[in-house]
Amino acid sequence: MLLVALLNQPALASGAEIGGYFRVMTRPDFQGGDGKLGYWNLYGRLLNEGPYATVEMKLPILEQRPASSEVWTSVHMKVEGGSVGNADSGNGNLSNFRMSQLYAEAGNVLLDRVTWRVGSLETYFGDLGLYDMRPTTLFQDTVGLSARYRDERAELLLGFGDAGYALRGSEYMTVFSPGASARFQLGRHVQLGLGGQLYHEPEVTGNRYAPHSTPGLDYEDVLRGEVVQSFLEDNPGEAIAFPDPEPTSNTSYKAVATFGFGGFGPLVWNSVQASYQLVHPDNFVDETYEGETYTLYVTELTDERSVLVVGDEVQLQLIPGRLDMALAGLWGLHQDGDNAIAPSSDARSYASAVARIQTYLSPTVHLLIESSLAREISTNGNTYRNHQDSIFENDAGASDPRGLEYGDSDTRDTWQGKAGFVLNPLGPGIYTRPSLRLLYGLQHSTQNNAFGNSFVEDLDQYNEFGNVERHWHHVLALETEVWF
Amino acid sequence: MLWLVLGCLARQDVVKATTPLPTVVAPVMGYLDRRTVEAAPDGLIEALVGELELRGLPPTVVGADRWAESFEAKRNTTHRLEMLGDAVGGSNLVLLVETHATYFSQMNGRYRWTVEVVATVAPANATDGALSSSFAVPVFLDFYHQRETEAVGAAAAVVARNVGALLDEYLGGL
Repeated sequence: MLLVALLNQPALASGAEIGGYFRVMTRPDFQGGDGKLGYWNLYGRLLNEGPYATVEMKLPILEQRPASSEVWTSVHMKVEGGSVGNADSGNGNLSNFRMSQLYAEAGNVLLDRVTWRVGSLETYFGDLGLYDMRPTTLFQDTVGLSARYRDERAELLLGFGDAGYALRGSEYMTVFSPGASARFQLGRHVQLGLGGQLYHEPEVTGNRYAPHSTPGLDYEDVLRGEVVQSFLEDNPGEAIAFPDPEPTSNTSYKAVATFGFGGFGPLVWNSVQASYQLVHPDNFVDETYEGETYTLYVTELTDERSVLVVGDEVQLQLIPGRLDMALAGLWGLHQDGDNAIAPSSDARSYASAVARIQTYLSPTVHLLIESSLAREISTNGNTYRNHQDSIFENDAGASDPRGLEYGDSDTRDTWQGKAGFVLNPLGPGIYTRPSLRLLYGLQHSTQNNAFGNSFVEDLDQYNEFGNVERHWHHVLALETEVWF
Repeated sequence: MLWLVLGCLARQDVVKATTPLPTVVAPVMGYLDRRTVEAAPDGLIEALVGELELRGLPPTVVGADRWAESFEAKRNTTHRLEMLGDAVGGSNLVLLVETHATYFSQMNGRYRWTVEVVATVAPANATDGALSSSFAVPVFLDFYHQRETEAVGAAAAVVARNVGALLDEYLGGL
């Protein structure tokens, strides 16, 4: 019916519209880093991100005309990637880019105020700008159909599709994914949003990429790659008796919420965003023993991983036209009910706070100052190397060649300070772009050499190159960021 | 230092009217999904007034109560200019700035909108001498609750700059 309705409309001539985003920078690092102040956005996105470019095309096929209830339709294509020539190790190679979204939208079809979309369905409630994080993202991995109703007070979204290629790639298996979200504008000053997405990967007997579970797997053996070895030690000469995988199904989900308020006094807006995700289980890993490769289906060992993230960002206009401030906080808890023995990115917690002030020396020349403080804790033991000779230490701070821990601390504390001049041709505003920036950044971390680098990682390299104790890190950055 | 110098550079000279030409201004904002027509946000009006004053064109902003109802039916720029010319006497010029905002997409955490603008300047009593400029301004809004009004407001600086160029062109030809 949608197609028939579209075909019955006269075509209108209109041009494609291009929008996009990019950031590019150079940050010479005389301490041997790769140009980022710290490891990741937990310390604030500023100086911790590399180059990035996004181009989105919108082609109105049937243009939406003012005050018209005619059918309209447009096609969107988005290409993005994290590399720019001479600015990073990817050197702008197009292999670093991908067509991340492609969809068609149509309105005034069947239902008033409803926009239909077929293709990429990604959506989110908002952004924690200081972190460049969007915890409330839904359908990032889904291609399908959605219907979005929108009026002045509410926005309702229903969608469903397939997330199989995003989750499984070349080992594709259908992952049916329905979801919904609702956002309500309560007057001018309060906003509330809730949403969720379900993932269901069905049981399919005979499909080796469908979810299976190999019986009797021990987590530590899988981690060490010693499942087959252990089995054959217990069952000499019985390789043929290695257990076959049993078909099963997987279900996971993500729930998101947002609460925002503002628009009074110096408070521009405060936005709380939260998400809880039961991470979709992995399917299989390969293990080779004595020249034979075995496929181990690890569904049962990866089905208890969850991620809880809560973030808040507040924008304040302290002296209109003179001084603005943004404050943000983030707390994350990653849990893995199957893993109680080894540090991993699935078993950790973190908390951080970031504050940025921007004062306007003139409408176009601004002074920016930002600071952040963060703590990261590994739930399952040591994972950070705090000293130049930590390479000798892992379990309980002692050297153990069979140890699963890494380094000599389970905690990393990081402080960053950043300051510099910003040229904003379009005037004041913390998020006004384009921005041309000259910034200096300083980091102190309890971890040694806590920045992207090529320092020694193993004993052989240590013996050859040595290492130094270095907790302070400086970078000078010349960068620009543009939305267009 | 470079930034400071660049930021403090004086703006280019503009074309000024040899004698003050009183000008009526109608800053109009329409919508894609309804017929409502209303006054553009204050930020845009102030920016337009600034551009007119800079050029020796004493501005009079015509309130939406004088044209909103009529403009809901009159969607054509020429018809609107004629209606304004008839409605306001004693002015030399009419500046009609018609805007509407179109939502583009969510992009890198922001809400991208496009503000479509048709700016027209004409003698108050002769629309056939009109000079017009159409352009689109991309704007990025931080929040979901910011809609058409905020989008047009966010485009104010660029719209005013382009309208200024249109006025320069018009005055240069007088």
